[in-house]
Amino acid sequence: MAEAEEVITDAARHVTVFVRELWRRHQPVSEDPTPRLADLKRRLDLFLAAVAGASIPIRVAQPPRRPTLLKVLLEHDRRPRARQPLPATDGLRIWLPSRLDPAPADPNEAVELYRVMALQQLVRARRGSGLRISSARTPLERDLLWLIEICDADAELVEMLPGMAVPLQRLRRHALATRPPPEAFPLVRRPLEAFVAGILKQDGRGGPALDAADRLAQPTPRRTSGDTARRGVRGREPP
Amino acid sequence: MTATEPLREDRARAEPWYLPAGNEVEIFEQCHARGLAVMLKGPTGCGKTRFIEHMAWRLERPLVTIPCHDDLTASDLIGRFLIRHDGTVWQDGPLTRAAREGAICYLDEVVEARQDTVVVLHALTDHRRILPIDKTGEEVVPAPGFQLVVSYNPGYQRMLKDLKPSTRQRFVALDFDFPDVEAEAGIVEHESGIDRATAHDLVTLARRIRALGDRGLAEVPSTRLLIATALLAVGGIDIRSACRTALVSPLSDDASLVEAMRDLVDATFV
Repeated sequence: MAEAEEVITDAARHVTVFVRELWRRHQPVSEDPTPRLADLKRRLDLFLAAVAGASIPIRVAQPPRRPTLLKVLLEHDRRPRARQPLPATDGLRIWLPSRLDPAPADPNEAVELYRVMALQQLVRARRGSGLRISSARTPLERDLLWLIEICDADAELVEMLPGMAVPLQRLRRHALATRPPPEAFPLVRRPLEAFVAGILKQDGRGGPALDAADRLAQPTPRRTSGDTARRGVRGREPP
Repeated sequence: MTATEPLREDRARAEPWYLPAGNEVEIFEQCHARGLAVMLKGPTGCGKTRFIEHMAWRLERPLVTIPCHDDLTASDLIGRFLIRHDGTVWQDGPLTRAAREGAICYLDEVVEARQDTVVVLHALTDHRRILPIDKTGEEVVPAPGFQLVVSYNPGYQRMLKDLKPSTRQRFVALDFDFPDVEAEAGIVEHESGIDRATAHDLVTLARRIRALGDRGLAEVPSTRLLIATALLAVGGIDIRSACRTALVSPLSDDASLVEAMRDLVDATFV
């Protein structure tokens, strides 16, 4: 015989689905056809649960806090600062922006971008990407390790789900188009920004970008002495 | 099936292909040798029916398959009196015929039958091993080789239907489940003729969708669905279209679920 808790679970699920659909049917129709995170949350949640084999909560990303005066003064070379909410993960949850800015003209493209962003964060959560760069000692070293880790994570994503290669390229183009112009960066950070732009122009399968990261790190061995950490990330001895 | 036409096992037909997942073939052979009734439990489309077809061929026994449903009565199984132009005659039902002729009687989805119907199996499946026919007063002693096999899906309609405990305890239960990735890919490849790489991708996709089993999917995609999808692809249908029509759409009408599964299809295939 069916267990009592199974009957209750089944009934609760049917009631939840019914009430949710009822709620959605009676909501006012938005004039903006571009889907937002709230519209896609369940779809993304199911998608991630299927890929990961377990559910991972999706939260709305908040805009970065405004920098304090002290931070502006001490980290003047860290501009321009992000003002929009960015996708992120702490390994247990995923944060995604509530809406895309600028919103793609095609609603399907917006869905696709959300899907790639969610998958990127899922792969990073599974890889423990945040822990991999925790050994960095300088901001530049941290940024480089982070970029290498992102390239590796994206390559893993494409290997796991080959159909995501083209959407990943689109997301990278979208990200490139929304980045500030190179002139907005201080001179010392422009090589790094050029490196980021180089990555965003690639197809997400890694390779040349990582070699470029090594080259970028070569002229400043003292500032990017993250060989130990990179050995763990890349799985090979540094040159 | 008519009363005059004897059941026979057509050994000349091709062997129903079956890839064992464990020692189920040996266990079934032992049950057959000892006249034990067998219950095949497992999700839909995982190979229960193919297994019994294979075993009937292997044991050289005729196979009588009875699809069970709500309106199945004890008379449908045992037999009934028929009025003809020259009088009233008794006609055996499929269960009685299988018992008389030593066939394997397979009741597919036995939980679909009403519980008062299933009770007629009790005398056949305990120490008595007889089939009493109350309308004629006859007690049929099954011929050597007779075996009763039932199948059901424990996850299906669990709120509404289940087997009585007194029925369950008369069977040796063989648990079926979807095989591991390589074995399932091999089955899809063999049954559809699709290339190994695509078969592997299909199985990987199915396993991801199966993770949604507790998220609103009444039934997870079966190996049978994968074979249907692969057959469409082999026939020239684009693999994504084949997945959407043969794999995703039959599973659910929930819009979010269907969209998420379509996203998975798009993410899996280039």
